[in-house]
Amino acid sequence: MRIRLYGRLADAFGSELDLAGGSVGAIRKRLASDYPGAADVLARSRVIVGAAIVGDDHALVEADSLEFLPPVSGG
Amino acid sequence: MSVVALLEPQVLDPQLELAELTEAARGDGGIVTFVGLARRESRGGEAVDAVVLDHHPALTRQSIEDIAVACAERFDVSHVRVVHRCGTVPAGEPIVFAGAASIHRRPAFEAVDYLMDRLKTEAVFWKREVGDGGSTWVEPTEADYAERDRWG
Repeated sequence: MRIRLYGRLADAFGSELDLAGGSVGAIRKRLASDYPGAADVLARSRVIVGAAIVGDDHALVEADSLEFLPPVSGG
Repeated sequence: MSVVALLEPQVLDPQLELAELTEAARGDGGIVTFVGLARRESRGGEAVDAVVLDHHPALTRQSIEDIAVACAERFDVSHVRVVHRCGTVPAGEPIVFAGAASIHRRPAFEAVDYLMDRLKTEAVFWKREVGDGGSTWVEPTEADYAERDRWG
């Protein structure tokens, strides 16, 4: 599934990547494992699937698109 | 009553924005505006060449509009106008324009203060400062949150 990342996470992983995973939590864990330096920001990031903010237990299907939003900086 | 909330990827011209607000506010008693400039120095005192604002294609503009609408509902103002840059803003150039018009001055002053306190903490941007030392991500300070929390 396609994953879009912003802010510090885009720095760490690039702004887009493809990963497979059964849940939001599984994707979050996989990303943290791939790049431990981003684990803290990942833990504090909101995840959007479609137009909704979802929790780690949200189940994913292959067609889903995810967005990882780190804490905002403000303007 | 009008509420304008715009995301500007190229150039923010405060004179132009003031002219638009003035045109809308012809029946009012006054206009208060704030223009934020990209800082030339980081909190740590290092020189900054530019501020880069990463944004979300839908949520960023929506967050600005939500703040502008809340402002218009909270204060006795006739017009609210917020224009925020995204992308790369060279140091010293305008990064945000926030303005409000009202019959009497006090609500307009308060409205712009409120706009900026909320924009500084809640607008959906991921901001980094770029200088000789590289690139540093910036998050709101405790003071920024305290200013925002004054409004309850």
